Formats: sequence, structure tokens, C-alpha cells
Amino acid sequence: MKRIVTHLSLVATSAILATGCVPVRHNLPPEQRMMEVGPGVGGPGPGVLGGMSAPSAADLAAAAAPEAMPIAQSDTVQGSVSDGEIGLVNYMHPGAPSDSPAAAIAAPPTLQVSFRNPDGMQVRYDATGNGGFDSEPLIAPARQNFPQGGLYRVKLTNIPNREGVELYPTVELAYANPRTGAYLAHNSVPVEFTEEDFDQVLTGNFVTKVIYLPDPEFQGPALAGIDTLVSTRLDPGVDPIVEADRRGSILAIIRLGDKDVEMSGAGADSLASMMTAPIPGLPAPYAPAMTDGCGHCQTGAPSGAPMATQYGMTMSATPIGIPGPPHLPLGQPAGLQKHVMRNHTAVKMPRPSEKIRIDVRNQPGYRYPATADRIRITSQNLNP
Amino acid sequence: MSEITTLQTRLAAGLIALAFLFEGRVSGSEPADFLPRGSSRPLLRASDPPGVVGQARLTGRGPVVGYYQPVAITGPKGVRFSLPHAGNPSPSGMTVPAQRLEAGFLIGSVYRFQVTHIPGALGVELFPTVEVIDRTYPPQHLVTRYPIEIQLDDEDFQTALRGQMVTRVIYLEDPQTAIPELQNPKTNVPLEISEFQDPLAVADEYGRPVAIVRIGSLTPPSQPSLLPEFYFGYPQWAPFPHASASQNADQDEVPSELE
Amino acid sequence: MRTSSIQSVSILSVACTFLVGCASQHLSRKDQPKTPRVAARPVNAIEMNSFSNGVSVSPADGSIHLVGHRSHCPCEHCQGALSAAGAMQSADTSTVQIYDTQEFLRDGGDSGPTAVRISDQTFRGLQPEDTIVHYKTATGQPEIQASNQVALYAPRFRSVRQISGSLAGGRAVGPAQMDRPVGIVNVDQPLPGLVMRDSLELGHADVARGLDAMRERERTVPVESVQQLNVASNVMAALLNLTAQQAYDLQGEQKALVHQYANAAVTYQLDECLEVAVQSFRTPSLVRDQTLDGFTIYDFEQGHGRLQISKFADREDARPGDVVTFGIRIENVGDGEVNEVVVVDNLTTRLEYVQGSLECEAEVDFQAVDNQAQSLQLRWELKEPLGVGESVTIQFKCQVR
Repeated sequence: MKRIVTHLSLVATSAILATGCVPVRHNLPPEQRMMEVGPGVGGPGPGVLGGMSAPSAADLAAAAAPEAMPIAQSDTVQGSVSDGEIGLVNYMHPGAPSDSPAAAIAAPPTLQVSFRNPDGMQVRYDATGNGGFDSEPLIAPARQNFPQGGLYRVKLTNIPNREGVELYPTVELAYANPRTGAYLAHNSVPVEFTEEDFDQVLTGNFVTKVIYLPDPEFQGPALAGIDTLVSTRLDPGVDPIVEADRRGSILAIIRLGDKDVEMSGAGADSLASMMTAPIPGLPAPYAPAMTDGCGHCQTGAPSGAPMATQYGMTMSATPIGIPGPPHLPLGQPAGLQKHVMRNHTAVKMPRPSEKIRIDVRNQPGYRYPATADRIRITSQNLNP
Repeated sequence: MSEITTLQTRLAAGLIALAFLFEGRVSGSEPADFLPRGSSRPLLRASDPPGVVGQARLTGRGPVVGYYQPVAITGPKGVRFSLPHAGNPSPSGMTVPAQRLEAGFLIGSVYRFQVTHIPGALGVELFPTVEVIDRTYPPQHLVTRYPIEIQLDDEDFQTALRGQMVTRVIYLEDPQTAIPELQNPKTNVPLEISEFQDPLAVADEYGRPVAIVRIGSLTPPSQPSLLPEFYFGYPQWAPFPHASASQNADQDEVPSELE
Repeated sequence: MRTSSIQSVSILSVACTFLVGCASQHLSRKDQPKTPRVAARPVNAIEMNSFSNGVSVSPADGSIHLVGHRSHCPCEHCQGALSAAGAMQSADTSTVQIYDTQEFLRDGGDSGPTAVRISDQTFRGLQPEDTIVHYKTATGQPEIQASNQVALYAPRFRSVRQISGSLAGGRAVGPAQMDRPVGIVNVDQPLPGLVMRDSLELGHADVARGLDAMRERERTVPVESVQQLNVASNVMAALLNLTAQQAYDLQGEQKALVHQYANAAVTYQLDECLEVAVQSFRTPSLVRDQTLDGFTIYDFEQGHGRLQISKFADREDARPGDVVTFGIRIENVGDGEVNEVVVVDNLTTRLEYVQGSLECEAEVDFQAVDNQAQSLQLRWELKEPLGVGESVTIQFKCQVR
């Protein structure tokens, strides 16, 4: 043992000697690294990553030594970091052949809204994004594609038997999710107004209607056949949105009041759309819908695009302190205190390492010129 | 056991209906009412977005990537089917409408086809989708003679025109549990199931599910840039070889070139 | 679980066939469980390869060549401008083709428990696809012989329909809200959204069970068990004069004949191979001189009859509604006559006997009774005993349902 130590010290001295021979070069770390506190300190930590991507072991290691270690990304780690999905990617993110050259055109996911009742009613929407209702009027029954996940103001005119009445309901369209994707890919969302709706609004009430897709699994057979729910009022205090969300998946929410948003001074600047129409001719949303996430979801799988977040999978690495996985109620204040996932897979793998020590050695190392610690100033005047 | 359950549920439904009669209002439901009845939830269901079930097959048993599964779609008399043909010079961008639509479809891709000449709804077009989720294994020379037969009927179209959605799961019947009845267009009626069952699970009990057809009343978007999304990115399909196509044309009662 | 084990067993048997290099037709469903489980590794290799397109299994040396999958992949993603129709034809060119038994209608054989006659009229263990002949030899010994199996490619598709729709759910009516809040004008007043502010009490979470929602149903069979004579539909007559086992089963005097010809060939060839003559040496020669020393003839007082039953169909594929002609030929290949010959064909569900289509050259009592598969059990009882070398051919038609 002692021998080795002496050998090592010999090597060290020889190295010093060797460096002493070559001309001295000064190497500074890259500019980016100079900005950070130190290796591993400036990088993102677990649970605080932006977006929905989970930090993986590769990320941590990369943060610890940004350039020094070539790391095989996602070979050892299941999660595909770039897509913002964790594990189990085969379910929702199949490696489909990208056989569609047309799919490269970026079109927003849309859904079709059909305005059905009453017949002859005219519907206008914001087609340019400047806040007006400047589209060609749709005469019910009519259909129009709307981008998913938006809040739209529409203007109803020419309502039969109600001359001169103009109403400005909002239509909030949800993003498609795995439950509603098949329906939205084949059917339109029916938007209907009844005489009673108009009566309620004109007498100063506010009507909220929710269109939802009943969930075959969660709606028990006990409720089968009771479609009187459609036209029945809910008890006071029962939120139709909450109720519809329990019974299925919400497709659209219609809010109808008697506010005239085109009247001068009626908050004209709040009328201006936050967004412009993604494609000319499509309705421009007034505000984004408040559904959580899934803005990138596709209703179908045209070219293997990622479609939805996994059921039961968390969106961040440490679920403690955040709302639960998607099958738990979303939108709650941070309340989850315990999150138990049991893994019953037969696993024969080496034990996980409990501590990782990462030794970083950059070559060539860093060398600054020695700072000045002594200054001599000699001043000489030749011609006094 | 199941009879008792249905009896109970009927009683419950009746009670709730009575409550409606008396109150005329709907009270909020208990969250526990909407928990799944069974203890498990299948990973794949027919109500999944189009493409999900088929894509899952691609990573399943044996490679089927790149196999064009022959499919034949027929309907009631007079109904014509056509497929989108990206780059077709014709203005409609569709193939010639035929009484029997035959093509080889990639497993896992979703194909939207057009239905025209629906009886009682002239001028109306429907755009259902078909998704092949498994292949058949015919002997080499019988590949196009035995496509997956999808027979749609008038109720499919009328239901879709009413604004509802039809999900059909086509399955290969297990001969050991087959229905002892000669199959012809009249007897080939689908097995109707309730809204609370999963058609994929039911079809799996009677055979091997091979395709899902979903019929709704969605119309093509007015913006051309949304067409690729509407047609699921125009996945490739393979026309049948000509010899077999002419042979099948003989079986049509009315040649498709008429009208 | 059960189906997947059958699948693996059938693949095992493919492996055996190729590794050993034997081409015997050894497979029927009954035989499969008896196939020995050979070493797991090569089987797995074949199981993987047999599905793949770019793989060839050479039966000559039993070795497996893994050809690059990419280069052989016929799909358009890999090869670009390959005709799609061509791809449809050639996507399936693996050496070992996979079949699904659910796509075939099979008739014949004795699957499941072996059939046993328990009285004059009833058999036990007769499954819906079985075809057997029951007879008694001259010594009164009852025997049961099963026929070969005929497979028709006749897939039938049905569908399940579900009608669903959306609901316009509960509607809440309340007083209209104040439009403009008192105070600052430009407060951004977000409308209530879809985000739920209500807590759900979760009784228990739903658990995804795993990928068994689509159960494995591929009970594959290797190619041997579904191969049959590839003939046109009108050569039934020629077909019926052929004994299935003739191709590989030599009978009685045929063996002696083949033996004699083989010996003659050896003698002839040894003479012919003499090509080089070397001087001063006597050319070596071998003369094989065989004569018949004598015959021993054994006389059996009562010969032992043995029936051979074979079954044919005039087509190999059928659509629903097609009519298939089946032929059953029984031949006495034994040494004594047999009597009380009863041929039973238990039709499977999707085969429907066409009334009056029976043709038989011998005198038979014909009965058709309902069976458990909601089809018919056909039953022929020969009135006369069947002598040595005699044969009886029964023809009947079935409609594929």
C-alpha cells in the first residue's frame, strides 16, 4: 500500500514537472457554465421542471456535468423526455409509421359544432380575431369547425318569434380526451337553444348548459333510460358542470345571459380576443378553455402523435403536494398527501444505487493567470 | 347472479324515476354512483380514440406492420362507398363510388370513407371511419377472395343521421361458438349491445375482433387545411388486383358504373 | 391462458418439423399436446422468425438464417415506390405461414376425447368435427378408426353494434350576474371554467388490469395440418379413387415389389460403374446373385380386418352459402372381412347437410340426427359386410353457413 502511494506521488510530481515544461495555456470554462453557480447547482431539480417532462436520471447526470459526460439518452430510462410523457409510451404513443406527408401541415385540432335549434336562427362568430362578430352568418341548422379548447363568443340573431332579440352566449369547448376522442372524430357537438332558455334569459336569468358524453363505464345501469335529465332543472346549488363531469366527459359549456357585449362601453377591450384565428376562416377563441392540459392531444392517431397523458400517471416526478393523477379530481388546491403506487411486476434487476457520486474532471483543467498581489511602479523622468 | 343484479338495477331505476315524478328536479348524484361496477377496466376499449386499438396491435403479437389487410365494405342496395384519394385529379378527391368498397388497409391506421346514395336521404353524405385492428391469415392465393367483410345496414346510417354514434366491432367468428344460421346479407345482423357495454369486449367473447367501424354525422370541414386531420392524414391503402375486382363485380347486382 | 399454450405448442411442433427435417403429416389437434417440448432456445428463435417477413428457415440443415428485416420488408415505408398491390401479395411470403384455426372449418378426425361406442346408436366422445368408422372384425373385436381431417378456409365475420350519443346535461338557471363590478373597470373576470372545484370521494380507484382486454386468440396451426389436395371442384370422381394414404403408406404386395425393383437397381448400377480397366490386373467385380429360396405361406383361419377411412372435400375454401361436396371412402385393407360397419360424421355448426344429396354405391341405412352443435350427425350403417380389398365411397353435400 505504501508503495502505491509513493508511486502515485512520483507520478504526480512527474506530471507537475511535465506541465512545467510546456508553455502555460489558460483554459476557461464555456461561457454558459460561467453563468451558473457550479456543476449541478444551476440545473433544474426534481419536481420543478418546466412543462410536464419528468426529470430522469439522465437529466440529473447531465445537469451535474453538462458537457463532460456523453450520456445515452433514453436508452436506459423509460421515459421519453422530449415528449413530456412518462413511461408506458407504447399505449398512447405508438411508434406509428409516419405515412402521411399531409400530416406535416400544422392544423389545430378542431371539433365540429352544429347549431340546431331553433331553425332559422343566425349565428355569427369572430372569424378574424379582432373581437367583432364578422363571420358570414350561419343559419341553423348549420355546422362549423371550432378549434378545440377555446372560449368563443357567438352572436345569435333572427331568433324565430323573438324579433330584435340579440344574444351573446359563450361556448366553451373542451379539448378532446381519450374518452371523447372517438365521438368527436365522428360526431358534432350539438348546440341547441329551447324556448325556455330564451324565456329565462329574457327575464333576467342566467343559463348554463353543459353538453357531455355519458361515460358508459361510470354511469351505472341504474340511470339507464332516464333521459328526462336533459330537460330537467337541477336542484339549486348543484353545479351542472360538476354534475356533468361526474356523469361523463364534458364536450361543451354554453353560458347564456342577456348582456349586450356590443354595446358601447360594455368592456370593449375585454371583448377583444386573446388569440387570433389559427387558420383563416376558423373561429377565433376569446379565451382559452379552462380544461387542464391535453392541448396537444389528438383525437385520433393520424401519424403517431402523442395523444393523451396516461391515466393514473402523474405529470411530475414527485406527486406529493400537487393534485392527483388525472382520474382524481383536477383543479383542486394542492392537497394530495399520500400517493401509493404498487408495482407487482416481477423484477430481477440489480438494486438501485442509493448514492451516486459523480466525479467530474475536465481536461484540460482550468487555469487562470495568477492574480497580481504586488505592484511596483517605477516612474522615471528623463527630461525634468 | 346477473339476473339479481339487473333486477336490483331496474328497481333502482324505477325508484329514481318515481323521484323524478314527485320532485321534478334532479338532485346531485353521489360520486360513488359513478364508480365502475367491476374491479377492473380494460386497457383497450372500442370507445378509445380511433387508432388507439389498432396501434396497440402493432406492438403486440407478431409484426403486422406494412401488411395491407383486405377489407370489403358493403351496404344496403344502392348505397355507394368511396375512399379519399390524395392527389386524385378528380375534383371530389374520392375514388369512383362503388357498391362494394374493396381495399387493403394498414393495421392501426384510420381510414375515413364516404357513403352516398343512402336510401331515404338523397344527397346526404356520411363519413364513417374504419380501423383495422387485426389481420387474417388466409392461404396465399386466397388473400383477396376472403377480405374482412363489413356489412353496414340502413339502421347504421339512419342512426348516424339522427346525430347518434354507431360503433361496430367486426370480429372473426369462432367456428366452435358460431351461430347456426346461414349467413347472407339478410341474416347478417349485428349483435346489438347496450350503451353500457364495451363492444370490443363483447366481440372478443365471440371471436377475434378485426376491425372497428364508427359512424357519425360529422361533415368535412369547410377549411381545406383541416382536411388532413379529418382524413387522419390520408393513410395509404392498396387497391385490389384487377382480376379479383372484376370477379367480385360480377356478384354485384347492379354494376357500379351505372348511375 | 389455454389458447396461448396451444399456440406455443403448435409452434413447438413447427420447430420439431423443421429441426428434424421430417415431412410427415403428423399434426392434428389431438396430437399436439403429445409433442415433446424440446429445448426452448431454438423454439423461441423460430417463433420470432416465423412471423417475420424477411426470415427464411432452411429445412435442409435445420439452421435458421436471419435475413435483414429491413431489406426484405415489402412495406412502402421501407422501399418506397413498391406497388401497393404487390405488397399485399408479397407481404406474406414467410417460409412458415401462420394460420388461424378460427378461419378454417374443419371436418374429420377424432378430436378431444376418443370416441367410444356405448350402445348400438350412441357414441360417447364424439366432438362436432369428428368423422369415424366403427366396425367389428371377424373375431368380433370392435374397432374405431378416425378419418383424416379436411380443412376449408371459410372465415365468417360478424359484428357488434353499439349506439351511443351525447346528452345536453342538466341546466342551471340563476339570476344574471352583475355585468360590471364596482371598482376598477378592467378587472379580468374569468368565467368559470371546466376545472372542477368539487371534491370527489373515491371509494376505490379503478385499476387497469393489464393488456388482457384483447385476449390472445391465435391458436395457430402449422401448414401441415391444413394442407390438402389442391384440386378443382369437378374432379371428385378421380379424387375418390385415390386413397389418401397411398402417397406414403405402402400396402401388402407393393412393399415386395418396391423391394424387388430396388434390388434390381443396385445390381444394374454395380455393373455399370465399371469404367476403368487396368491391364495385368483382374478387374474386381461383384455379382450380386439373389434367388428366391422359397415362400412361407401362413394361413390364418380368420383374417383380421382393418378399415381405412379417408375423407375429402372438393374445394379448399368456401364462402357462406357455398356448397361443398364431401367424400368418405372406407377400404378394407386388412386380411379378413369386417361387419357392422357404421360410419359417423358429426358435422360442425357451420356445415349444414343438403337434404337428398347422399350418393353411395353400397346399400346403407342412413340416419341424420341433431347433434350438440346444432347441426346434424350423419350416420351410415352398411348392410353388407365388407370383404378384403373392398371399398365403399359415400358422397354428400354440405352448405357452409
